[in-house]
Amino acid sequence: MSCDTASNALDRSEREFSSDFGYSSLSDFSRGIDLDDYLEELEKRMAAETDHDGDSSQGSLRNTPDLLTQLQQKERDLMLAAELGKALLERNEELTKRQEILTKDYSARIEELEYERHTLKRRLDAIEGEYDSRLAELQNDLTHVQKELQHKESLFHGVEDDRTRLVTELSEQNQRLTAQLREAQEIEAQLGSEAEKLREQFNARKGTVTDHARQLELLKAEINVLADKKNDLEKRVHNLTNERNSLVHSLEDANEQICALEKQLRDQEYRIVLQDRDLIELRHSNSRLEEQVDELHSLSTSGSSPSHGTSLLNELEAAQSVVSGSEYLGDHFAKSTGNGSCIDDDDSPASITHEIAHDYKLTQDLMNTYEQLQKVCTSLLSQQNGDGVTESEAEKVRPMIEELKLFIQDISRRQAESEFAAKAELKALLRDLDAEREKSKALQEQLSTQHNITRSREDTIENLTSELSLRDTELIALRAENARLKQEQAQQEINQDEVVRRAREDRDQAIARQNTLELELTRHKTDFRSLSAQLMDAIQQKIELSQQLEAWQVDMQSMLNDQLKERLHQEEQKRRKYKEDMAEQKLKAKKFALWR
Amino acid sequence: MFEMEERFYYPKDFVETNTGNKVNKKTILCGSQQILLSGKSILEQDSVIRADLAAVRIGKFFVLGRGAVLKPSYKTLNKPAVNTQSGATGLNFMYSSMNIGEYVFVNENSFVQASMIGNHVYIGQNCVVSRGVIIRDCVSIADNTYVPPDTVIPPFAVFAGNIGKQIGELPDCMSDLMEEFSTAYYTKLIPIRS
Repeated sequence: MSCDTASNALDRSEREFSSDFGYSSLSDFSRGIDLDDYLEELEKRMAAETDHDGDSSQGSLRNTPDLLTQLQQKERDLMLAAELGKALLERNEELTKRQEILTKDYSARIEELEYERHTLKRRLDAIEGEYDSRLAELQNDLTHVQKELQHKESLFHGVEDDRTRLVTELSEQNQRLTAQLREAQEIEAQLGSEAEKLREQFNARKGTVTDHARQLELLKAEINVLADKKNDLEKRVHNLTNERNSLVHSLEDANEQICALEKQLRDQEYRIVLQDRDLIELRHSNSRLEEQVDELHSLSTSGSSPSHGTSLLNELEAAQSVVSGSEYLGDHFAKSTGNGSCIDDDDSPASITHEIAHDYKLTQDLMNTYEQLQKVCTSLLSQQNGDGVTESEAEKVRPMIEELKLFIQDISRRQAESEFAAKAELKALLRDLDAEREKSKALQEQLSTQHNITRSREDTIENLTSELSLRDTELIALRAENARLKQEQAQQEINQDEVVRRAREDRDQAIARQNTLELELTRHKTDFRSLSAQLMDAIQQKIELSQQLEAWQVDMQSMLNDQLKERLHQEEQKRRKYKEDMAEQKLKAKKFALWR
Repeated sequence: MFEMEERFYYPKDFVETNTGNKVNKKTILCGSQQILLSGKSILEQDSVIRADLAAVRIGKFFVLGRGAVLKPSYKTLNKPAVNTQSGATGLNFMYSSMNIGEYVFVNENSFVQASMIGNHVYIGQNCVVSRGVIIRDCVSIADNTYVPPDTVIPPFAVFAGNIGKQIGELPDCMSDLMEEFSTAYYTKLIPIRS
């Protein structure tokens, strides 16, 4: 606007200038003076004068009259210049005036414009403040609205959750109800099938009542046949009872026999025990006798050389002499000990005869030594006759020899006695032993025979008992058969009326059952209907709830939309008001400017 | 029941007497005329009996192990012994005879100088039984035991230690055990017959 006003002011000043100086414009002014033409003309004249000066310097002397013209020209020019200067001065004055006017104008206009700018600035500030306050208000509103929105959304979510829960519950109820419905249908189907079955049965019974009469006739004939059979069987039973009695008698006899046999067995066992005892005693006595024999044997072995009182040296010597009559009495044992190889180790106690022989050998040896000693004695005596120095020695030796002789005689005597006694005793003992052995053998044989007898008797007893058990089982089977036949007979003797009555009873029972089943069926049907009605109610409730929910949603949406619209409308109104205010302010500012 | 293993010997190595004594030919018997064996005794290789000092009387089923020594005990005298016939004075100690009961077992390398040993006695390996010791019936002396002089070992005692002391008692069946053991030892020593 300010530019427009400035341009307008310029136009106006130009118009005023042109009107003041009779020029349409500045270009017209410059054209009116022909200053350019004049300048051009002046330049041309200057150039011509310079050329003319050159020529004139040469020809001045010749053309002095031209000077005057030239001077005139110059005067004219000066005149023209003075005029020009005048005009220019005038013009300058005019221009300065015009400039002053223009500067005044412009300063006034600038002041106006500055004032306008100032007012505009102030308005701008005011508008900015207003705008800020409005913005804050709007932001507050926005936050408030957002909060409301969130609250609404949360509410909406809660409602949605409730709805989903309700829906799930309803669906569960629905499922349960459908399951119940299915069960009810199944029960219905079962009941229907049962009812059909009962109807069929009833029909069949109705049909069979006529057949029963025929069957009864047949059964009567059968009863007659069975009665005949029964008579036969009774006869057989009678025979069997007779047989049984006879068998019982025989069994008793067998039992008695068994008792007798057992008694015999016991007696024989007792006898066997006694014989065992006798045997043990005999064995004891046998062992005792064997010990005695051993002792006697040892006596017989050691009788010839009594160990008590004999030194080891003598024993060893004896052993040596037994093995080899003249084997070396070595010096292996230090200080008069005998060293001989003992081969005499056949000392088994069993062979008594061998021992006796051995004793005999010993006595023989002793006799040999005695003879040798006698020889020595005789040689000594001869020496005594010849040499008197060894008399005392011979005297010393003689009693020893005598002693030895006596000793040997004694030994031989004792040995013979003991041998004889031992032999006799041994023989007697052996005889006794043989006799005892024979006795024991005989007893054993007896025992074995008795055992065999008892075994055979036990076998017979077992056979008899097995037979008895067989008979018993047969009897039991026959009795069972008899009872069965009796029962069959009793069953066959049931009256036809009773059969009819039973059939009627059956029919009545069937009818009663049918009635009860029908009642149950109707009850189930009513249950089913009530359940289906409940289901329908539930479905309707569900539908209503869903409809309510939808309506609520719609309401919510519409409410939100209204609110938003109101907001927008308010904002638009505010904007419009602002615009109007701005326009009023502008108008006011213009008025103020004019007033100024 | 524990059963002893059979042991075999060559008949040429042993002398068996009529009473059943089995004497190894490598035993050293000093004064064998003074050794009185009751029978069924065994004298093993390298065993020594010093009967030259005094008489040695031994019961039946006696076993003298390999390298064992039996020596009679001696008594010290206040006055030296005087020979009544010659009047010469002797040593101032006197050996007394040694009496050993039945079923006595003296194991290897033991030295026994006891004056009296009862029945059913077991003497272990490497034992030293000093002079004047009296061993009663049913006694066991452990291996490597030293029994000091003039000790009296009571019946059913177990003796052991470097200076032997009673360390325990034997059961009543010791006699049966020793009898069984000695008889088994005797019967299981069997000659090899070619």
